[in-house]
Amino acid sequence: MPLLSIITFLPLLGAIVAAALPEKWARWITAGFQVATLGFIAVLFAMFDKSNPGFQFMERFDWIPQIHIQYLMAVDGISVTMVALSALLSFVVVLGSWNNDDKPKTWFILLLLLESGMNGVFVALDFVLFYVFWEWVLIPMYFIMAWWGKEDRSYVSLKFFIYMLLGSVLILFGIIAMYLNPAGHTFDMIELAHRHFPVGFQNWVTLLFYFGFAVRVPVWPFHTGHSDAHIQAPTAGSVTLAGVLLKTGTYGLMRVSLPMLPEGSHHWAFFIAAMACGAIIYGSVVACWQPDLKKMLAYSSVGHMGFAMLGIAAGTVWALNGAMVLAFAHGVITGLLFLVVGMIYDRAHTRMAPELEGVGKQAPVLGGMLGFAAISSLGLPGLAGFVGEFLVLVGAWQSDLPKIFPVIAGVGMLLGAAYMLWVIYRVVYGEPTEKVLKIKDATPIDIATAGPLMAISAIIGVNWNVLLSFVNPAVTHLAMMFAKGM
Amino acid sequence: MQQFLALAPEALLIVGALVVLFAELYGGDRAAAIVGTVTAAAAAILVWLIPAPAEMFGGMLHFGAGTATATLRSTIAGLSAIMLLWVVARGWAGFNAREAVSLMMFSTVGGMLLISANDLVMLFMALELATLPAYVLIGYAREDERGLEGALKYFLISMLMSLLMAYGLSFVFGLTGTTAYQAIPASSGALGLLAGILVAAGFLTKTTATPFHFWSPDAYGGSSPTSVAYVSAIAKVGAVWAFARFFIVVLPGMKPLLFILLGASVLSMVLGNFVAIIQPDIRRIMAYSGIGNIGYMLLGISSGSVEGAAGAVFFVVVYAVGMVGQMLVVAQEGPTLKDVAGLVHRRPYAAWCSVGFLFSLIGFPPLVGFFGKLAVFSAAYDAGYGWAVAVAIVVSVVSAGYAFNIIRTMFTPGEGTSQGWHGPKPRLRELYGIRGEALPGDWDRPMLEETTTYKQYPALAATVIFVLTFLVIGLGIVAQPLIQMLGVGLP
Repeated sequence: MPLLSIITFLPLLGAIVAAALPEKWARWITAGFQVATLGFIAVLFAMFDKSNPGFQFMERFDWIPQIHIQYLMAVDGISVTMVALSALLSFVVVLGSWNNDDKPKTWFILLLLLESGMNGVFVALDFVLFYVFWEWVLIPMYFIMAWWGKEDRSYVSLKFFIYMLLGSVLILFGIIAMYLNPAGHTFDMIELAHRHFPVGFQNWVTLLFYFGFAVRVPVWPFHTGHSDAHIQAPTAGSVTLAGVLLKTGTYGLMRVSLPMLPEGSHHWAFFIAAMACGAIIYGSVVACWQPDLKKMLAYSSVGHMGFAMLGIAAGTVWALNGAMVLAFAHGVITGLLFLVVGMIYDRAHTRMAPELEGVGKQAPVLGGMLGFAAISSLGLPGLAGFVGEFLVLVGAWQSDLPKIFPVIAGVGMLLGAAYMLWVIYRVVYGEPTEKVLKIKDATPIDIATAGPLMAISAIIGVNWNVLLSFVNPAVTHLAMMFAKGM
Repeated sequence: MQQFLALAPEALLIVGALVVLFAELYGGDRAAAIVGTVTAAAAAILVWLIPAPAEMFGGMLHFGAGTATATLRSTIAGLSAIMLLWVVARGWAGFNAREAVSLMMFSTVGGMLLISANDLVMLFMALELATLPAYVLIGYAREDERGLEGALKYFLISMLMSLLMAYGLSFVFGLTGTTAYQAIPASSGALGLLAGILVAAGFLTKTTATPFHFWSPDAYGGSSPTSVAYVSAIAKVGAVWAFARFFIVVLPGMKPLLFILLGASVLSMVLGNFVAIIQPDIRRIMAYSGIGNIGYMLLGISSGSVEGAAGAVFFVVVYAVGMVGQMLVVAQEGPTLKDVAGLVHRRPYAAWCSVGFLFSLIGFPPLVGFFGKLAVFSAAYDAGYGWAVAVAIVVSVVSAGYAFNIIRTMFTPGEGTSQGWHGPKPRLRELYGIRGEALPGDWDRPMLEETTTYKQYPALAATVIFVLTFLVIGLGIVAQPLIQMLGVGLP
């Protein structure tokens, strides 16, 4: 059974079906196809051989043989967790926007298209196919922002798109360069990882890929396309953007830079780590100053993803495991945060922290969810946010990067705690303001939306082996390949 | 006698064009368009049914190059047929259709002959046959001053450059001693280079490449969008093939000449994509977009390799499909940004299809335009023009700017678009030859259905646009057959 193709294209099929049938069925069709996709992902996990560090469930046939483009899909431990995250958050987003009645048909079709593209990014292993999905996600994302976004949507959605496109074309340039290098001559990403490119070539191509992926992550100072987008996007857009699209950047670096260009990655490791630390400090400091909750979350994402980048730069087993866990946990937690902030916004029509004091008193369940998410995010041991950052710090310390980097990152962790506690102090506690007094507490569907994410955060925090058992073999293999570049 | 049958598609089109010319006698515009559609479609199919000899008329025509010539002849006729089917439904967007259809068919024959031209005289004749009707098509709106001005500009520049090209061809004849395509001797030195430059200048003009692009924005901007759909897209396919083939067969490996083409390519890409952003009229946007796209195409030709040439041809074919689609949408909805504002609420399918065309034009995967770009970029990179590819890749991002100018207007009218914007500043207007006040308001008119006496069949027009969208997507996902037939490969 071509499991990966099904997982990738089932949402697309759903979009076509939803387009063909009347508007009132759209949300049920969407939910149905997404549950089916999740079912297939469950099958994938059940059949996945955890001890195998290589690729599994491979589907390979020629797509355009004249120019050596294949249809190649496979997963290893790294991608399988990311696909799960993508499908899970997509479903959560649909639940979260269940009552959307502004052009609901188009809305749900776009969400399905988005899921299809995101799933595809993580399973495609031919460079051209990868690039197809890599760009694909931008189109639904653009329309989601441009139509359902906040006041400044038209400008911001375009800026986001152009920004992402700039990153993408750098990657395209890198892909062409690798293909035309005498050592390359294939788009097969598995094969390319076994080729040995000349060192000088690796150095500049690594930089291309770094900038291309950094725009997606986003790494400071390339975050400006994202931070506005997070603020202006509708809740669903913010959740998928923060939860999954950012992860495609770190995933790309782990899939492309480390195994294919190990020498280049070593050459730039210091630079990448320095930029990552810059992102951690910058993101956390700026987040501290933001009264706008969504803006704060956007900058906190810059900070948290900086940890993942630091882990990738370090390249040790611990650090890479940490980067993976962090990527997953950040997807779940930040998704949850955006979701809850979105719920509050829908009720109070403001995102400004000073106007939102006392949500916890007025709406205990909503406040509780926000508090839980904030505590997860600040890295309290026992919840998911802690694991990744801890592993990254240990891994970075073990690596041959200067010890100052993990120290800086540790300070960043502290700052992260500061702004999150500030949010809890102001928004969850405090005396309800006039606006807050009018809001109603969470409905059952809100709880059903946020509940799974909270549960996952707790499960990973308590027993991170659930995740690591999938990730670790592949990451160990990856760290070995990276170490060859020394 | 048997072998002349290979020209049956072209002959059929000529007969069809003559029949169409007398459509007054048997039913007028719609009958003309129907005859045109049927003959063009029949020609497109006939190309495949009649086996062509390798050469004809003592080598004046050439049907070799694998399946490429047949594919391109069929493509040109087929695209014309698809477009004429739209004309059946919509008319020539407010003008008399019969002469326009006839002219378009003559030009189509010229394009098909360009594909098989294998002789200097044949090349020139076919090129002129392809462009002469285009002048008339561009000036078809004869009450419109701007249209006439554009057409005159087109005619004068294009004619001048044709003559220069003929001058260059005479040098080639002098160097090789024959009018048949033959590589000029390696020892021809400066004279060979001069011949090459003159011929290239002619081709650059016909394909609207910088620095000979000046006519195209004015010509397109003043004419009926339906004419633009043909002239800017289908008419270029034959010219590009002839261009690429001439440089491979007659002027192989002339490094300085290739550098000149590379320079023209980079200039076209940069100028076309940047200037397209500030245009208020979609015809002008697409004219500049065409300049930019021809720049990408030239990257392929300037690489001097067979892969590059094949890539360039593939690129222009897929460009033509997207361009025809986009211009037909414009033709039925109105040519300025103001006309298409909020199109998604008025006619959702047209807006969504337009997104498909525009994304294909800017090379967004998996639409077919992406594979065209991949082919020419690879060829240029392999030829050692890494920096030019870098430029091309950066301006690809810029090209999203004009595409989104249109998309934003269609989908989110009035939000940050150029609604309140009244054309470039006076100085700039002068520079670009834009006349009159406040361009965006010029065409403030109701929808096509309400203005023309030609009975409209919106469903048929929609079908045509769907077919073109389907091609743009389908040829991308199943790109293999077209790539194989055109002999495209990566270096």
